[in-house]
This record gives sequence, structure tokens and C-alpha cells, in this order.
Amino acid sequence: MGHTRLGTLPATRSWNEVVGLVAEGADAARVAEATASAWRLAFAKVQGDLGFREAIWWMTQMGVAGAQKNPAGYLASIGLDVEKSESVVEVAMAMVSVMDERIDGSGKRSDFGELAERSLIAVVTENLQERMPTLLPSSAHDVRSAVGKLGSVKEFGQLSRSFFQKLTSECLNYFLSKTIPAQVGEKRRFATAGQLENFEKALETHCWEASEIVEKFSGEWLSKKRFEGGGTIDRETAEKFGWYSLRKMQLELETRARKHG
Amino acid sequence: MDNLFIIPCGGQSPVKVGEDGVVVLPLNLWTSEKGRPDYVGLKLEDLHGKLYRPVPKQFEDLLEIATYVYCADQATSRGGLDVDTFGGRWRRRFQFHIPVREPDLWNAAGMKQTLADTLGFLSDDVFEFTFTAAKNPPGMQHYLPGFKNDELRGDPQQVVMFSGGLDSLSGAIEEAVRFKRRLMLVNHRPTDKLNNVHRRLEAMLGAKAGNFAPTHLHVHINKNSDLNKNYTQRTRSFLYVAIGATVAQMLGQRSVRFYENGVVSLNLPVCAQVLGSRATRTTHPRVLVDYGKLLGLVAGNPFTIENPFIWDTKGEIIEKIVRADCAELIGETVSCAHTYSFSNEHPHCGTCSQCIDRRFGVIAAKAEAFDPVSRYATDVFTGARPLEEDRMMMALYLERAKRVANIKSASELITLFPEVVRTLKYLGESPLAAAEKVVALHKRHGGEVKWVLEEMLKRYSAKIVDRSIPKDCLLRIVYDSGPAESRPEPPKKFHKVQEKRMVERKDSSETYRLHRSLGGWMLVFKGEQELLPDERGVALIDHLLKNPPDEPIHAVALEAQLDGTPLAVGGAVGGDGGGAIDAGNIGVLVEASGKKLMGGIGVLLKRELAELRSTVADDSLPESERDAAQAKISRLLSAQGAGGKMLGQAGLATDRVRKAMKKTITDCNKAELRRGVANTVLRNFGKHLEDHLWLPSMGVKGRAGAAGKAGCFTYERPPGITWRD
Repeated sequence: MGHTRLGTLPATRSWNEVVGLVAEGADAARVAEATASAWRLAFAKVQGDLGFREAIWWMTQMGVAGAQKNPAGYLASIGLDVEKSESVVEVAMAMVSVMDERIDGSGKRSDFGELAERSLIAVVTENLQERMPTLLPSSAHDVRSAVGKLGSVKEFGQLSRSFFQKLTSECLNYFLSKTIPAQVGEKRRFATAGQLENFEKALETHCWEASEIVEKFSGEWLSKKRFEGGGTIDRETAEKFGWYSLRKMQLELETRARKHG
Repeated sequence: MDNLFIIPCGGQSPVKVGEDGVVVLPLNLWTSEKGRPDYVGLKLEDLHGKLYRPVPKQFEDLLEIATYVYCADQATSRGGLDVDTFGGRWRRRFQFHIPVREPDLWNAAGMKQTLADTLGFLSDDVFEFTFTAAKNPPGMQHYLPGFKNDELRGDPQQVVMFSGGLDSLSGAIEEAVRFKRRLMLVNHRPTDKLNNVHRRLEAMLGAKAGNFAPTHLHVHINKNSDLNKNYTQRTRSFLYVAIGATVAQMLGQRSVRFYENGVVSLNLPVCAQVLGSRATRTTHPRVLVDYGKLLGLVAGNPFTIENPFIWDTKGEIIEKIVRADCAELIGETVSCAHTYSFSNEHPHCGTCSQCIDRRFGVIAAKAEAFDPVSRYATDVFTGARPLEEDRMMMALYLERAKRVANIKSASELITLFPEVVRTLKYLGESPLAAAEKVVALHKRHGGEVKWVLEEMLKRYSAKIVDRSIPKDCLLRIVYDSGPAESRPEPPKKFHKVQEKRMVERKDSSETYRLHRSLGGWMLVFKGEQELLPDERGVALIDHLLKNPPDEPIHAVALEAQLDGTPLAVGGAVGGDGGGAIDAGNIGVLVEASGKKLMGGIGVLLKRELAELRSTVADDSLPESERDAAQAKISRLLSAQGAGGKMLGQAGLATDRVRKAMKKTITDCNKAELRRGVANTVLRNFGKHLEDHLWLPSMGVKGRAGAAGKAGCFTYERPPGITWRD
């Protein structure tokens, strides 16, 4: 492993609460709520983040493409050339390339934007792969067909849910990875590496359950935007949708923690 | 990004800046005054005299640019824990002002962009360069303190970067011992502590290679001690490769080689906080391709930077050393990242990521006998790890190895490590084939880690059972014997802190709030929170709730108040409902209500009509203007003929406001948390609006609007309810 820089959480009141809860054996719901409460300051700093806006916009464009006769052709017309892609790997590469080009050119790369970009690549890859043939190597036709399906209203709701689950999960881990691995060892919160792994899985499951709240709303939102906006969605509208969905996730984490409490 | 650093170089006057928080950091390679705060020294030592040949001046520039970049990187902080800015201070912005011998070459757009892109990806910073013509720059000799003149058996055939670690040693052995090629090894010594270690290793390697003993070039950077603020040194490989390329140019070669195992080169992040260059990209495949592109522009010829070990694991690389009968050299290499704690007795700390990786690799290659455990300050497997960061590193290393070992396909690799996508284009294979090779590489690495763990658990099983090895050592943590030992329930201090905070933050059941939030509106209804979308209907309702009118308010006035637009002065009304009524339609509004609604409107209407009539009557004006005025008069007066029916903008405004509010209320009334589960907060709010806003405004069937006024709206605030932001 090459040089890797790890950070720890600062000793502020809100972060102490997170560290303390983990140490006391709090469940995933409580830890997630406390983290989402402590990160408010950090989230306030990333309003208008370019990477987040790009990731959200490209996700919505998958939905817009789904309503077109030629989804891959539409994506190509806005800069994402996947018409000749023969595998989901190539689609992922094209998406990273088109987002990086815009972000790098601006000099405004950020951690939050990076998490959003990573989340989008992960969920698009996963969702496309599920629609690929399993026995034979995929073809450009298979990829185009899968891209088209991904944009139906129902599928968009699922894609959006996966995205916000992943992003919320990544954000939680972004902060929690600065304390949780240090609490491994006998007479600590996680006596063994296996217990740590179980907790991380519980956190992921918790985010997945909380993300259900986004699925229906996302599909309806896309449907409405397709109707209202003449089939187009601009970056500003997409970003608002993104923040709204993230906020919904945060509220749900709070609600669930109260229930668990 | 507000971490702006301006770097005037080569004795240039510091740039004047007026902004707060901008740091100016002069650096000067051309001064010999070591006490100066801007002093930076670069020395290329031990170059054989017979190998020295003049290089084109742009290579001298390249060496200086790379040194300035490396020193600026070290001299500027990336911030502390930086959690509450979401890591905002990790990325810096550098503006370099560098005098060069070939300003036209360096200022060419393609060159500057390639330089900025390469360094930007390498370090995650933003780089900008201003190159000016240098006056009397020193020659190459300035950086060559002397030449070696011992026996030279032939010109080197390949320049190889040599760090003194296991990977670069294995590469040197492959080339010099196995394939009998003559090498020039370029070695940067970050600290003098390692001089003797490297000398010994070089001597042993020379003895193994016999007639093909490599020649060496040692690089030293000296600078004022105040210029050491950041130890991440993400740009070190750029300096390294610039020196290697300059030597290659002297030797008439067109490539430089790094030797680093693929797992480290690709350096997949160990956890979510490791973003971008927090996992070093020193020999990342994209960086090597970008270096080649940049050096090609400098040399004016194609140039490549290669890593022949990209598809090898650490264990496989150490096996190559053993197979070449050079195993005794393993113990002479140093891999540790904590060079500050280096000692001859314990050259390895045993806790940093490099030490952990080395030890696993050595045992996987069955070369443990050549890497005595006594050389580690902390035994990687059985040593205590009282420090938080050390435990984190160990846990994350093991977790990543386990995750990668279980990956089954290229798509799963991308789902778990999306960062890997940025490498696939640069691996010389089709994207899918490259991804599959990356999977195979990591599965082998994961397999090595698993095998080593099994071996060590077997070896120490008795001590694990006896619990006679430290409780926070690697083996105790890996050994999962089921549930944790029973221990007294810890006091739930922070559980109580959280509960108290949640109670304090929760609004009382008598709280009614509505305010703009991220991407929408935050509603608190009877103390319960919910979100509403960013829609016009919510904004209109918000205004009415917080400003319940004494008299019903017309849609036009409501919109004007909400938008802060003067009622009689606005421009055309937009399709989204924003804007105010056009002055030319005031008459319609007056007529719509059957009586004067707003005190000044009638007056304005009369004034408008008077002006229009005088325009029509004025013979001096062009006919077209008079016709337009007449047409406007007709439009205004036509409202009268409609017998009180709203026309034009007023009718449109009423329609807009009604539809927008109705949509919000309807959406609330059928809101679901998820399929089949009613959203009670929004439904209760919808009912409240229905009862106190919609019905009073719309009236019962047959009525045109609030208090019988067509197009008017109101909110009848129930006692005890006050809406606030």
C-alpha cells in the first residue's frame, strides 16, 4: 500500500458525541443520526458544489434519455458518447471522463463532489450490469438497450434511490472512517475485525432502508419534469432536486434514530 | 478553494497581492546563501564524468521547475483535520512565477496545460505558471558538485528510479542481474539517515551484478528548515522523473522506468475518507502516461515512463528477488514511511502502511528468513498498537484486502472502487480487459494477505488462546472467536447527550414554521418536520401564512408582494408566474373587482389613459406611434365591455396563483412517505390549508373568490397559530 493519509475527527462537541456513541456501542441508526447532525457545518460549506451538481445532472440525464427514441444518441448529443460502448466499463469510463473534464477545467474539485461522482459511477455501473446478458459477452446493442431502460420513470426512481443511498453511505463513511477503525481491539467497541465489518454492513443497510423515501418521489419528479420542461432538465433544477433528496434522507435518518431511541 | 500560494522563483521580487489569506513564498535555486529564507539547493551527486553530456536548455529549466514544485509542495500546509470544511483545505492553488531559459517553449499553450494537468492529477492541487525569460541563469554545472571517475564498464542502457525499497530493488535485480543490462539508478535520499543503508545496498547489488553493476546518481535537496510544513510530498515523483529524464537525455535514451507493484501503483482507496491524492498517485498509470506526454514536449521526441511491475503483487515481486538468488539483499532495503523514526537497529516502524504491506509480502514470498522480525520496532502481527492511527491503518489494510479478494467481476470492481475507472484508459489494454486484469491482480493480493494471516494464526494459535499477546495486536483483532467477551455495560453518557440534543432540537407541538431549505422548503407543522419542494405554490402559501391579510388580497397584488415588484411598474409577466402586472392592464384589474381595489391604481389608470389620448391627438408624432397608443386605449377600455369578467394579465395571475396553490394542497393531501404509507405531517398541513386558506379564498360553490371578490385570496389564521421562518 502506498502512502495513504488518514485523518481523525476533531474534538468538538458534536464530533465527540459521534465518537462517544460508537464507543458506547450505539446502533447504526443512532450513529448515523449523530453523524448527520455533526456534518451540518461541513454541508453548509459545500453548497453550490460543482461536482455534486454534475453528478446529479448526469443522473437526471439518464432519465431524460429514457424518454427519447434514441437514448444513447441523446446522451451523445450532450457530450456522453456511449453509442459504441460494448461494456458497462466503457460507459463508466465515458461518464468519469465527461465529468472530470468539466470539474478539472474549473479548478473546483472537492471531496463532496468526488463522493458524488464516485457514487454515481458505482450505481450506474451496478444498475447497467444487472441488465446485461449473463452468459455471453455484452455488445454495443446490449449497452444501448440497458442505457435506455435505465431512464424509464420506474427505473429512474430505483437509480435515484441507489444513488442517494450510496452518497449518504459514502458521506457517513467519509466521517466515520476517521474514528471507527480506531475502535477495533479487545475491550474496545469492536473486539474483532469481523465485528467492525458487521457494523459497517448495518450502517449500509440502514441507509438503504432510509433511502426508500427517495424512490417514489424521484420517479414522480422525473415524470413531472419531462412533462413540464419539454423533456429537458437544466443543471440548476437538477441540483435543487439533489439537495432536496439529500435533505429528505437526512430527515429520515433523524426520524429513524428517534424511533430507535 | 482559498488556499492560494504565490511562488516567485529564481530571485524574482515577491508579487504584491492585496487579498487576505494569500501566502507569498519566494524560492530561489540560484542563490548560494544558505541562510536566506528562500534558499533551495539541488545537487546531483556521483554522476560519472564520462557520462556527462550537455543537455538542451529546456531540461535545465525542467529540473528547476520540478524542484520549485516539490519545494512549494513541502513548504505549504494542506490544513489540519479539516472535517468541518469537508476537506476544503486539502487542495491548494499554486501560482508559480519562474524565470526560464526557453520561455517560448514553456509558455506554449499545450505545454502549460499538460504541466498543469499532470501535476493537478498527481497532487490534487491547482497549478498555474507564468514563465519569464531568465537573465544570466546558471548552467547545468550549478547542480553537479563533482564527477566520479572510477571504472566505467559501458554506458547505461536504461535509467531506473531507485528508492532503496523492495520494489525498486527487485526491478534493478531483474534488469542488471537477470537480464544483464547496464543501469543508471537515480536515487533521491529524503534524509541523510539512509545514506549508509543505500550505500550498502548498492554495493551488494553491484556485487551480484558483476560486470553489469549499475552506476548511480544521488539527488539531494537542501532548503531552509522553515520550508518543511507538509510531509505528504505528493509531487516528489515529478522531481524524481525530471531528474531521470535529464539523465536519460544525456545518455540519448527515450524512457525512464519506475518499478512498483501494481497494488501500490493503482492504490485503491482503503476507505471513504481517502479521496483523490490522499492515496498517493506517485506511479499511477495516468501519471506515468502524463509524464511521458510532458517529457515528449520537452524533448521534442516521444518519451515513455514505464512501470514493468504494474501487473505484479508485492509477494510476486519479492519472489523475483529470491529466484534471482539475491534474497540476502531483502534485509538491506527500507520501506518504512516513518523515516523520522529510523534507526539502524529498527529501520522499520512496523505500524505504517508500507511496513504492513512489506511484511505481508515477505511472508507471502516465503522470504521471512531474510527480513528479520527484530528489524521492526513493532512486530506487524503481534506488536501492540496503542495509537489510534496505527490501529486504523491495520484495520483498513485488512478490510481492503478482504474486499478485493472477493471481487468477482470488472463491474463489481467499479461498484466497490469507482476510482479505478480513472486508470483503465492508461493500462494499454481494452477497458474491459484492463479491468479484468486489475481484478485478477487484486484477487492475488487478497489471496496473499489471507494466506499469510492463516499462517500466522497457526503459528501463534497457542498465544492467541492464552491471550498472551497484546490485545490490540493484529492477530488478536483478526481472530474472530464469536461474540466479544462479556464486559460491563459501558455508561451511556453519549446516548444521553444525543437524546438531550434531539429533544432540544425538536420543536414543540405548538410550533408552525416554513422556511427555505436546501433545494426546497422546510415545514414544521405542529412540531413535526417535513420537506416541501421548491415550487411557486409553496412560496405563495408561505407569504399568505405569514402575512394573513385583513382584507382578501388579489392574485396580482399577492404576486407583486411576494416578488417585491412594484405593482404598476413591472414588465411582462413570465410564464412561471413571476413578475408584476403590466401598467397597461391596470384597467382590467379595476374592472375585474367592480370597484377600485388599490388606492393608486385608478389614478394611474386615468393618468395612463390621458397620456395615451394625448399621444393619439399629437399630429407631430409618427403615425405608427399614434396607432399603437390607440390600440392600447382600446385594450384598456375593452375590460368595461366584459361586464366585470377578468381579462388579460389579472385573469392570468388569478389562474396562476389558484393553480399553484391548489397543486401544493393536493400534493400534500395525497403525500406518502413511501408506497402505501401516508405522510401524516404533509396531509395534516394540507388539511389545514384546505380549511383555512383554500375554502375561505374560493368560497362555497358559486362564489367567485374570497369575500366575494373574484381573484382574491386570504388565510384565516386560527387562534393560537403563528407562522414563522
